[in-house]
Amino acid sequence: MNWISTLFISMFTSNALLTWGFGLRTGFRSRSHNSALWFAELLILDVFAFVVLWFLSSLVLDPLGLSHLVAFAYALIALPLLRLLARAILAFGETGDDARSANLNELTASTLVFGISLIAVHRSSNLTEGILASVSAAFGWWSAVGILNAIGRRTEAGSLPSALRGGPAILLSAALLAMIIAFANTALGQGFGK
Amino acid sequence: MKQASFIPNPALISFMGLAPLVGATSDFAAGSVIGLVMACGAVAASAIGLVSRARVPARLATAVRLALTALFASFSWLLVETWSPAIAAKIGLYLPLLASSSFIMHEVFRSDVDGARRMKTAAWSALHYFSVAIILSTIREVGGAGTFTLPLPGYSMHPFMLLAQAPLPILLSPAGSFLALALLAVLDRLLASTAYAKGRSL
Repeated sequence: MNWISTLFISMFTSNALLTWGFGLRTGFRSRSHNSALWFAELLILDVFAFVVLWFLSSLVLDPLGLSHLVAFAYALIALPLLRLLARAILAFGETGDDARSANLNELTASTLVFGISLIAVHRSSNLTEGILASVSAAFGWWSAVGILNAIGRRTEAGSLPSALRGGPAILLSAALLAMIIAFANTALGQGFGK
Repeated sequence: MKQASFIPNPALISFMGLAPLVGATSDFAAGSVIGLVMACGAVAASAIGLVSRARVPARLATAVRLALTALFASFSWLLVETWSPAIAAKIGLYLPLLASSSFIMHEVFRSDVDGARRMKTAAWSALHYFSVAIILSTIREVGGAGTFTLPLPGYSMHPFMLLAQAPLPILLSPAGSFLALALLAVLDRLLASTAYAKGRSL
């Protein structure tokens, strides 16, 4: 798998998983004044999640023939580490913003999803590609939640029929984003001769 | 409760997520299996949460819940792979999501202190999730490929040809999945509002 495909597939994965964006919209709004910091947190957690799971899978589980237990092992080993790291990151520079602490669990769980998805998608790739994919996943999710958050606010305030407001409008927006990303993936793949 | 069927809500979304619906429902076989596994996992995780809260010290509750839900996900994977390696290969990416999704279930329902009510909510959401997976996978496969695949055991999947030409191939893509889901959400909302209007007129 080439890097461009990895990048955009990861971005798409993020969009597919913006699922969690619905649940995190409140948290995102509370962080909107400092979205760069939020992106940095996502980035660190995503990369950490991937690296831990990659080493766990490729150095321990696969050689022992226990690859089926990846979810089990990940939940027992990586999750506590990830929670500690998330807590440390959020504590660093904490200025008494309760919303950030309140969203710790959701952020951690969402990052878990990315980590698990990425390792599954890129199981045959190398560590560098995986880290790049993790970075792009953080960027993809950050941008997707931002775009959909903006769309959600506009559609709530706009003149859409009541049946389309809220969830349906956001799902339609997600479909459009998925199409654009798929088109960009194809176009860039052809442009790079892949 | 009515909204839990198709309209995204914090319980349904944070609980199990859209990702399996978007990614694993391109045919009926995979869609029905992932729906069933996720629904069973939801109920199991809720039960595990209740038991662990009652019988396990608070300090160990999270670790025990994690271990049991992850074990359930691994066991589900083995069961599906034994039944049909072809289906397991298709949904393998999404089964680990079950573990992480189940993990945060406790957070989603943490304000709901009544155990019986929490179980009822989990079972209701699981039933709706299964229904959505069934309907969505049927629409996507018939509309996108013109075929229908039953979740039969075996090393390969054997789709039945229903239409000579697929009317809407885009339904097989993730974007098509979002579109179909949005359509279902609109229909659900229209039906709910019609039923509400009829109820008021009677």
